[in-house]
Amino acid sequence: SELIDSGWSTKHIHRLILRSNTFRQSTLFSASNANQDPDNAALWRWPTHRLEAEAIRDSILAVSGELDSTSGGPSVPLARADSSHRRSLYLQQKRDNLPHQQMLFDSANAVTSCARRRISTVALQPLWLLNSEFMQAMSTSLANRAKGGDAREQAERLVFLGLGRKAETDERAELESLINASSLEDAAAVVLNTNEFLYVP
Amino acid sequence: MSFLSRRHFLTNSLGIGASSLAFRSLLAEDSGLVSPGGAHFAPTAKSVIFLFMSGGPSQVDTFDPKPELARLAGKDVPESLAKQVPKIKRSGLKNLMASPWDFRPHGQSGIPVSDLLPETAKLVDDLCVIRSMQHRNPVHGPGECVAFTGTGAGDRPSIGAWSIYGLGAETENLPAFLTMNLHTDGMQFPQAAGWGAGFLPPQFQGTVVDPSKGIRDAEMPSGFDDARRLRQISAIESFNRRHLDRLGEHPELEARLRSYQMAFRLQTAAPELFDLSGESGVTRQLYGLDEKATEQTGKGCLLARRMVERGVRFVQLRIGGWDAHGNIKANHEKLCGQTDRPIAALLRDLKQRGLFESTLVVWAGEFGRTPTMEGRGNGRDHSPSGYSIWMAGGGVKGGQVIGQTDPIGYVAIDRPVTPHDFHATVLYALGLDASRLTWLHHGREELPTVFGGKPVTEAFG
Repeated sequence: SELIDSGWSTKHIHRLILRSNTFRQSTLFSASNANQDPDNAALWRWPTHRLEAEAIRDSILAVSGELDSTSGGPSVPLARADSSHRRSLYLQQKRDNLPHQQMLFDSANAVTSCARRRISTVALQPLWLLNSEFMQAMSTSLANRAKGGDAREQAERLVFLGLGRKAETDERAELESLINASSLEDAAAVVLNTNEFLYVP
Repeated sequence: MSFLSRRHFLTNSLGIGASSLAFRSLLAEDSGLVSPGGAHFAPTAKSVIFLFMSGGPSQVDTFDPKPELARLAGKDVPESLAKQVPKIKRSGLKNLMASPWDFRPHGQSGIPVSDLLPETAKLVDDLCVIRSMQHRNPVHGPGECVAFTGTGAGDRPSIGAWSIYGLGAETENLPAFLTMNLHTDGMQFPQAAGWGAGFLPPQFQGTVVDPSKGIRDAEMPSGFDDARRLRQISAIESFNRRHLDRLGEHPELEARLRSYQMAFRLQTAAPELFDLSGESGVTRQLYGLDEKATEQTGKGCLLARRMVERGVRFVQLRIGGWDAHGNIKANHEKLCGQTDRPIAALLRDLKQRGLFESTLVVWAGEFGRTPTMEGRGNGRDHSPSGYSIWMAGGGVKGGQVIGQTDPIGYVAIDRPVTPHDFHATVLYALGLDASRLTWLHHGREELPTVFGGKPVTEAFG
């Protein structure tokens, strides 16, 4: 009746939710809360959750500077899905042959309606995130965006571009030594593989 | 995967709440390998190889001889038999067609097998043939979903997924459930539900592998070696550990940490699995790897053996092309020419390596074919009302036939076996009681056999 009383304003409902203390909970762990409510049924912490398959791909494209944000028009045919930089929304959804990355990260199955996305953790996901041609290309693009200056500056830039924040001292040192031991591309790939990149928050 | 199966085992089977200290300390010790003793009773099989003959092999031309067909050739189905034929679409009742092939008794058991399958026939004493398979879906896509998941919609877990969920185990280096799709010609595109997890957690789904390419993305890009990759993984792990420290406990994030370790091992294990160069000339010859007709299927069957050898628990090999609407002679000669020898080779090879007793091998299509001719093309239409499958190994008592069809091979009339029964039977071999293998979904305790289904225990003697 909140909705009805507000004159059917969904914006009103959105404001109510987004401004609530519950919605603004941090993810920080609390031992005493965990003992009482280990499954977080009462939402004492923001439930950290992984990005959906489409958001993963789009985020990787975006931070690598490769996202083609053209909107509208025909879908990208399956044969070109791997090389397309358009938003995942535009990939053709052929029910018996969905795009590989999409299925890998638990997309809807296109057979039954999906009320809630699953989240799986399987070894094939790191394989794609580390070895696929798409990820190799994106790591290179992200590395290009982080170029310039010395390894220290590059490490800072990688964390800023990929994770949207300033690097902690030890993080920067870690990436620095990886850049020196391997390459900037390898370090870029690392950032794209972190939990922090794939999970919210 | 380990987290969820362990959690589910503990909370559902033993009633320990996820909050208990016992559970959390178990998690902490978890190295990623889980065998929570999911079996309900002693299994006879450790692994399953499901040889799926997509398109629907004709029973009266392979394992269900019907002399009446020869006598009635050209005539319509007699009234007395016609009234038993279920009113399913495509169940034509006109113009019965004799089998173009002879059947001969084989082995000590004397079970008759058609001349189409000479190599399989030699091993008939190892086979349990079921002639009374039956369901009601005559269309390929849904029929295939029925064969693998029990219903036609394709939203339920596959038998492979149920098996892996029940076993709760995984090899250290390879996924527990692998599937190969060969000869995907014609209209019968592989149904993803056939290896899907349905409402079970996604980690129980099968991984599709291409025999000629291996596991997708398992190879590192050129220029990479283990040391270089390990430097990356180490950096990823540090970032993830710091992230975890900030957030506090988070089982999913911890599982993700472990998945990188497994991925690293997969990079070595996967190419090794698919590298056939170490196989002897004798083995290559046995599977027909060097002959065009049997090359692909031979490779698939050989890989199936290698997978089982390396601890993979559920292997599916889907071979398409059996859909003989017209010219069944050409069609089945071609398909049997591709599959008879490699499949027999697989059985022999499993035996030689001491794997036969612990590996349940199953041969089945999504349905059979009508004893009547379809149109005028000398072929047969789809028919789910009575068809044949066989099982071998994994505790199966060979040299027996279970069930029978009517005198023309149309309808299962004795000891009918549904796909649900078949699934219960596979689980039974793995030591799992389908009626106790539950998963809470949408407020209902789901079972593989929620619509019924009991194991065909006679198959195990």
